[in-house]
Amino acid sequence: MSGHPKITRIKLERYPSLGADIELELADKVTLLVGRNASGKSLVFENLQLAMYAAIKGPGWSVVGESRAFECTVNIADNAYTYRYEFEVVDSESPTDMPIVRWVEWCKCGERMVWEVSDGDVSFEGKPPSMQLPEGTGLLMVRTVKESSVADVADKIRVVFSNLKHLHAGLPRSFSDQRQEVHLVKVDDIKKARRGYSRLSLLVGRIVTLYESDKDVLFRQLIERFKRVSGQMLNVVFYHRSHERQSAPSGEDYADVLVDEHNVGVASDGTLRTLELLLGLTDAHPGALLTIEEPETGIHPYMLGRVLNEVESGSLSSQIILSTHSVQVLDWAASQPGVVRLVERKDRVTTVRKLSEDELDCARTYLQNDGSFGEYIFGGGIDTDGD
Amino acid sequence: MATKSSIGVIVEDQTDLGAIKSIIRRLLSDPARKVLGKASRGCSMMRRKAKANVLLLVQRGCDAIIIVHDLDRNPQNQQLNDKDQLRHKLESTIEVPDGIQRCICIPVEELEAWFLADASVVSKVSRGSCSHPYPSPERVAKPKELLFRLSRDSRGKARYSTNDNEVLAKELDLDICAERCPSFAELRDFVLECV
Repeated sequence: MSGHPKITRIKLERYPSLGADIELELADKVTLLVGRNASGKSLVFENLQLAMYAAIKGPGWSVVGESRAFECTVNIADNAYTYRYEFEVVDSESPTDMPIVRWVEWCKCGERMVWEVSDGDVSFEGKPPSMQLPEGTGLLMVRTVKESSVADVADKIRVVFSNLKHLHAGLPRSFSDQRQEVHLVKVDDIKKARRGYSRLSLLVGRIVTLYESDKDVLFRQLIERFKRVSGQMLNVVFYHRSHERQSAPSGEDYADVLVDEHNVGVASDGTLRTLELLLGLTDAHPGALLTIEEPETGIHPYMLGRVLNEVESGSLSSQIILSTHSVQVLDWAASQPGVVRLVERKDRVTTVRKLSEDELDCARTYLQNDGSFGEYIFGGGIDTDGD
Repeated sequence: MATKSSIGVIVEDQTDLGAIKSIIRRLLSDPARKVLGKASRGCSMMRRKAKANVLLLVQRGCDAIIIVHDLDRNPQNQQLNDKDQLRHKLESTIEVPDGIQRCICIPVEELEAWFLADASVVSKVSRGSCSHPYPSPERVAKPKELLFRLSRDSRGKARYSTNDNEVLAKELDLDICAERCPSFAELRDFVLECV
């Protein structure tokens, strides 16, 4: 994955829902989160999104007393940069003013301080402060950094955080969605499906957006991926000619997504889920993190195998974290048992850990003796009780 | 039950199955001769299920069974596994009934190496950015990863996936591949003897 930043470690501190600090080491390409129901896998993903969002946009909440920290080690051009922020929300002196966010942040390369932010004062390379930021602001929230030696690193970290993409568990068609055609409707300059912001309508919107923004490269890649995984053809058709779309009246039908010439809204749940996964892989920003919950849901084993082949290909340019309950997905990862992270929850505390050296040795022996990695993990003693 | 004289194939995964069946059909050039296959989920499962799959394929009319198992590397030390050791293990654990021919094909280091032998396939994977073949594909480390890298677009995203293998197998120059990949030559020679 030459040229792309790579996250090696993430630490989430004082996120109440997790119950304790979480440290997660990421594998080079694909990391697998495995754990029972309610162990906290989804919580890890949700809080990771909150943490990265806070680094580039601010914490976004102002409940007095809230305090969080986030730390992330990113390899950029063979150098390891550790970025950290901590914030605390405190009362303002005036009862009528909004609470104050106290923001402290630093970025180090080894022992060398790259930048540091404290109470708005920004120091670069360990020198006296030379930049002032508004209260509660970190350097990644600022678009322009004049210090050239730092700007490139800050930009790369900001790109990684801002392009984190998450694919939720479950199926795009919710219980309330009936199997019927979905048409993208133009509302002012924002396109949304007729039935509002459902997951399915957002999927349709994203596909149309991909077509409009990058028809010749990314949309073509999506078509190719979808065809070679499912054998089906994907297309977008518009209700107006291209030169008329900008001025098309609000509220009118704008575009349809077709699968084998039928509206995507009548496609099967498995097809929709496959399309959602492949879209996620296709429009993932190079170098950014893609998190996927339970790719196996609703997908035939044969199709899942083909989707996992696309995940393998996609991991060349994006780090991917998968959570799974599937023996098939674990078997797929059997050549690298070290990519598994066990998520466990006890006494309302979630923990995440790698397999120990003993467990890895046992896994390799088990595999050499024709055992299945999925059975090794789920068969007792690792993810479940009993040996 | 299928008529006699089918060839059975047992492989590690579905993408290998598509590629191998495609190659065998091209070598047979006899549409009446069927190629049946069973794919597993990885080499461990393939070895574990091999006996059952052999019996199933024989029951379905196969008189020749081909087992394809990548040589791969030891994940702990990244060294190539021992080919003779692997062959011995497969021969002793995957038996076939009397009268059934058996071929054990061990691509080095994995099936994807075969595609590197043919310049036109390399060019197709790389979308024209690389048009030279690899004269010794079985010496290339991690050939599948090389195919990923060759297929990268301007943003570094791979366009190849192993789901392409069946299509690539249809275009592979079989003579050149046999010339450059001894493991493929073994498979080819076996299939041609079955004709």
